[in-house]
Amino acid sequence: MAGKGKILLIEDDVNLTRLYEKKFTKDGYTVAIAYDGWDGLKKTITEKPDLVVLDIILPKLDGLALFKKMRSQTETFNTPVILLTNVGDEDAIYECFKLGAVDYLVKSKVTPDQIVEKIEDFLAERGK
Amino acid sequence: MENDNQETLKLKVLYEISEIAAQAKDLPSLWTPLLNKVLQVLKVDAGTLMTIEGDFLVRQVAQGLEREIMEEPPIPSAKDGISWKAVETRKPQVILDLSKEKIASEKLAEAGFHSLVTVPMMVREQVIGVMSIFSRKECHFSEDDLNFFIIIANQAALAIISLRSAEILGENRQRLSELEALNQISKSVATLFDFEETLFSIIASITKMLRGDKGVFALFDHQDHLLKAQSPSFGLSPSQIRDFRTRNDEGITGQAFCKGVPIMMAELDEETKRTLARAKITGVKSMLAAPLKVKSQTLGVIQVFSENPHNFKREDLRLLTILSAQAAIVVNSSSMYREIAEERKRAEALLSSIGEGVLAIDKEQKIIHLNKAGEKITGYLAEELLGKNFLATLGLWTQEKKPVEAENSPVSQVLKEGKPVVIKDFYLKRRSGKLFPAYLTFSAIYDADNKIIGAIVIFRDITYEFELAQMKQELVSIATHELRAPIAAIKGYLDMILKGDMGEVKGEIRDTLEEIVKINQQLADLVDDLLNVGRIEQGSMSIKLQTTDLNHIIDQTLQEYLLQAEDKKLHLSADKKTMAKVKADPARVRQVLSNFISNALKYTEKGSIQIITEEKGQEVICQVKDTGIGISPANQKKLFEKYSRIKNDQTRQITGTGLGLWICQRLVEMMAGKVWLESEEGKGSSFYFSLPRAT
Repeated sequence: MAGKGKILLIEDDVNLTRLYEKKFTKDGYTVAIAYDGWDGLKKTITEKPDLVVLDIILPKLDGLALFKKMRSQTETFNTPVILLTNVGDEDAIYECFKLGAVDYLVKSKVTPDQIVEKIEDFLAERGK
Repeated sequence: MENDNQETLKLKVLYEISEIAAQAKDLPSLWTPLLNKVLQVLKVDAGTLMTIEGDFLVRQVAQGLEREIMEEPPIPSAKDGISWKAVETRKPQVILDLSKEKIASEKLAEAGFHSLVTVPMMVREQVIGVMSIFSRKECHFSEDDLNFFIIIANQAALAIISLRSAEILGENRQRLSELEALNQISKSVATLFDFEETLFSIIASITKMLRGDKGVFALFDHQDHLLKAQSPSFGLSPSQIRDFRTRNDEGITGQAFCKGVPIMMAELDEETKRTLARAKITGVKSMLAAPLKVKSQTLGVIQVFSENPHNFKREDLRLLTILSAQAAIVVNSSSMYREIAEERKRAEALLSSIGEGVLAIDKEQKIIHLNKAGEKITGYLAEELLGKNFLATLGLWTQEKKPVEAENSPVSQVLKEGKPVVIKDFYLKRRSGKLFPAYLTFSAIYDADNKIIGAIVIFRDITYEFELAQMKQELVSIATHELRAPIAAIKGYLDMILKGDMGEVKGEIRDTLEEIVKINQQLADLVDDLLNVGRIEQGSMSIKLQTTDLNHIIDQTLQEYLLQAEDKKLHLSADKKTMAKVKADPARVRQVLSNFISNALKYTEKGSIQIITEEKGQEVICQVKDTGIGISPANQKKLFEKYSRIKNDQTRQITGTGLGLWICQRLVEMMAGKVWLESEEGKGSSFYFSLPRAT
């Protein structure tokens, strides 16, 4: 399958990465994974993802800082980002929105289906 | 003069000198009469008295000298001179012809003085000053004269030092609450004067002088109105001292005390015998007793016993009278000292038994006391801090570890205003230089006139509590963060399974999985609530106030709950009576509103849930009104407490943490609003929150 596109998942929790990887793959996406901020930032360039699903609390480099760096480098300047957050990350979410995040999803509230729905909506929008 | 007569005269002089000391109300009023008496006795017209004050000889009084000499500055020890020579050699210095000697001030010779004698004033081998006499005529001082002068000088020294101790003691008695006083006394008086030893030498020499076998002081105890023997004694055992006590009208002792006159008894009366028998003092055949008087007060009695009948003579009575005057001053100082020392010990014991650091500072913020616990906490020995500035040594740092400025420090505040100050989580510096968090209480110390004279600082090292609180916070934060991810993963997998991503799921398996989804959601809610509580309590909950469209938030939130309402066949709607915007944090408003709506959904089985907004003054009020089970008045009160959950048959099936309303209330309060409710059992409840209108 040529697939619907490539998603870079930057998330340090192994359980969640496995879950999302499974869901995204099942739904026809190619998935790249990074478990920390530095690796994630590197992969935003090397993996050339169509979309990044980004956790906020990350080792080495947190999501907000990573997002800022993405926006400052030409290769990733336009790469869309969906934030994966927890209750209580409001400050970071607010910051990210100012930097142009596509949307945010609260991990404990959202279902994998809803995430995929968001991704599909967005990529479809973009494909137009 | 007949020898005996001369001896009596000398004794009379000594008596007069101690009388002068006993009459003097303070040191300044002692100098002039004392010197005058000395000059009169020695038949000279000029003299001076100097005391050692640190490294200087300070002139206290002078008579018959030119103004120029009188006004000479204190003499430093570095300067050689006749006076310091007397101090150093401890021997009288005689200059017969002042015009030939260079060691004395030239001004003396210029003023026409011909000769001079300077003698050291000594108490217990310690020189406390010098006394000098000057003569315009050519004088030849005989050895007898010199010896008499020395005796007079030493008697004067004893008078001075007794008065000085009495003064220090008396002064400080009035300020006993002041710790500084306690310190001062223990230092100055104890080094100044060894009472035990002095009292012993007094009682021993008196007993010997009067050819007695035993001698003891009996002091009047104001508590039980008895005269009681006191150590040190001459020739009595400790148990005899302990057991010697008599009524103040009993026997010779009592009479001497009551009448205030010395009494001699060649043969003992029955009462006196009984008194002695009580203390198992045997073999006494005759005795002398004289009152110990200081100013107008009689302190007790000095007694000398003899195993010979008719041991004492009439003259002995007079001698004892003279000696007892001197003894009285020492006894007085001694008993005052003892009382104060005891008080000090009690205070010290109390302070050192306190686990908290106790520090006293004076008006100048200098440290004047540090207890044992304080030493342990700070690592300093009290001696290292005494006399030093509080802020310059232990310092004071704010919660942000910024040094507190002297003018605005709680120390200055307390010293100025007198109101106690309590501060938590400020830092002090240990001797090692490390800061430690402390809980501090500052309170003022007042003198008898209600003037602030210092402050007491009680401090506790809260490093442990601090670490514990931090650990607790970290634990909650780690636990909640670490719990969230697996809960979210479980939720995700369950969702995928139920959506059929892994194949069709039906029947009992589906029902069970749906049950698990609910349980998992409870866990997720609990973790979120705990995290919120933790943040509110830590003060790290951030609130970003902005102009917020409340109705927009209501619309969004309603959408999230429409499905749930539909499932329960409840009518969920909004009634917007105002379009006014509020000043609030939209995320927090949504959180509060979600909580109210989900509660309403939980506790309502039929009917409707309505969200109403309206304006009232400067506020916008949002009401979430349901037609649910309602809450009894008693339960309404408890509702906003942490972990409060109302348990009855109707609510047993409903899950929750009991934290939601507590969190909502705090959040709304942080946005300057209020939360309240109205409810009637069986009819329904209305939960309200108000927020300030945006301007």
